[in-house]
Amino acid sequence: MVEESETLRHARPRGPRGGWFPLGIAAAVVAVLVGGWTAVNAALPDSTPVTSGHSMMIATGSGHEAKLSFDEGWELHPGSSTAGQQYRLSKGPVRVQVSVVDPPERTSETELWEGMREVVRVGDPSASLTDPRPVTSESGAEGLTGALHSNESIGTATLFPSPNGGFAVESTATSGESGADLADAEKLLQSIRFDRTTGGS
Amino acid sequence: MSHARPEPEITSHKGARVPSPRDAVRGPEGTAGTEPLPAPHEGPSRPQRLPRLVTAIVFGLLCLAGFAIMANGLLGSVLVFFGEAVLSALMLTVVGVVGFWVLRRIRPVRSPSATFSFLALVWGMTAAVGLALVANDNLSAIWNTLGGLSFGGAWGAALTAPLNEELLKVIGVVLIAVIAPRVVRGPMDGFVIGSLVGLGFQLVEDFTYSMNVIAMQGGLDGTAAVVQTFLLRVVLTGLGSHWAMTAVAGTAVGLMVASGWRPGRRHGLRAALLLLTAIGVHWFFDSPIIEGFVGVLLKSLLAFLAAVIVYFVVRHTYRSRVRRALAEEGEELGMRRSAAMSLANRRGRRGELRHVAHPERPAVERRQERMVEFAEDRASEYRVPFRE
Repeated sequence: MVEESETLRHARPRGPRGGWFPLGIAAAVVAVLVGGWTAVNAALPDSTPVTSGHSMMIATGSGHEAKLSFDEGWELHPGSSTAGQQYRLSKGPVRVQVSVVDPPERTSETELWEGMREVVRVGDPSASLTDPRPVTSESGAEGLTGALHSNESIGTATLFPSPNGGFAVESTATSGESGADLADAEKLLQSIRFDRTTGGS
Repeated sequence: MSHARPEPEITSHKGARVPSPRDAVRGPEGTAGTEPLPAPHEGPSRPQRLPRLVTAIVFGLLCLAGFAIMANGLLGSVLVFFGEAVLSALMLTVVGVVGFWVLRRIRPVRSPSATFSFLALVWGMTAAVGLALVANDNLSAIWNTLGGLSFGGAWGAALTAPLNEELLKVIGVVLIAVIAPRVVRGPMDGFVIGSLVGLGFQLVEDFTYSMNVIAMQGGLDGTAAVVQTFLLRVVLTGLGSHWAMTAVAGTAVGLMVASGWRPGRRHGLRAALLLLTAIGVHWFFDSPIIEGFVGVLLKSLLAFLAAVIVYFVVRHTYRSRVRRALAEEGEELGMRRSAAMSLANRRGRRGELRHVAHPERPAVERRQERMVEFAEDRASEYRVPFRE
């Protein structure tokens, strides 16, 4: 057995590949995955224009789907958006962040607003919401809206629960320190409508 | 490393047991006419020291960078939902402690180095997570931009995470193999160290998910969100998650190490297949194919099965080799073959110790340890990583 094992030994060719080679491969992989994707992403356009009059489905669930209607000049930032969850939009200096949330059952609008007060502070600790007031969209959907203040910007926050409360669409619109031009954002958010989906409850 | 066949440390004529410490006194410098066996922990030669040092620095810097990126991404959520973050961290710490113990324990013969096991965990928790955040953000953005939001929503995760995360996790195994060649000597070590890297990654990812789910549920009832996430990602899919995928990928690194980073076609192909298996299983997990509760269970089970199959193949081969090496050593030392081979597992060593007088046990234990170290050294030098 000893003789037999001798024939099996001496197999590892130890050479200059002992250290630098795997280190080089590892460094190259990190460079490609981190630097390479960053470079490719930077080379691509940051935003794509949304066709005027286009109605975009932003959320679906519990038998309803939510849609926003765009007028001219809006752009979607696909790199910062996730279908059905989160959308980043802009029009000139106005920035709109739309988030779709799945609240616990039987959550009231006021509770949703209180939750939203916390969530806006995640991205910007200085952000705060005023007390909300009722708002009705062009299609008749009821929600809440209020002012958003932070060290960096002034804006508005709006939420619309879906008719059966299965999900809610929460959005913030900001426009620099002045808060000018928010009318376009308010118009966009007022365009929200909830349609029944086929076979929905 | 010398290719000379190790000579016996002593020429013992004891038959049936681990040689007593009195025999060992004749020791390495010992018996006339025999060449002393090199100490099992030979220091690196000067040409090897520099790449190890540089690799250690790179390892440390990437861990720091990854931690900074991760902390920057999570700090806002942690500060706002502090209580929930503490709850999630506590629950995951328990999982981490149990997972760390189990995954070190599954290595046959001996558990891996505690230090490098911990460093593997740290790599998974910091460098791999932080770098993956950057890589995933950018690659997801690329898919969304090129393919549109619908395509990105359906396939973005499957085309992003498997490639970025599996490679960034397994790089931790590669770096540890360079820093500490005795810690990753072959497929078995690659499996265990890889599983620990994956465990670290999994823990931080679970924590991140729990924070994200709180926001996705509108910032309401965060405690329920944390518990739900725990049930989904630990109880339901925890067995077939990152630890399993990186264990499979780490086995590929072990194969590369065993061939001195110069694999022939066969071993290169096996290593590539293992890495592709890890990426493929991850791809299937993240793909929109077979969705829903059953789909998640099936996908998780597949990842677990892949790891289990690889584990048992590698374990069988490794144990066979160590036992053979111990048998050879035992023969050289004049030990009974069965007694020598029994040292290949923890229970066998304890059993042998019971036959020794109590005062002599510490010395015999040390001697067992050395024999096992030599046996593992020998075993790692046998040709053909997978088959005898």
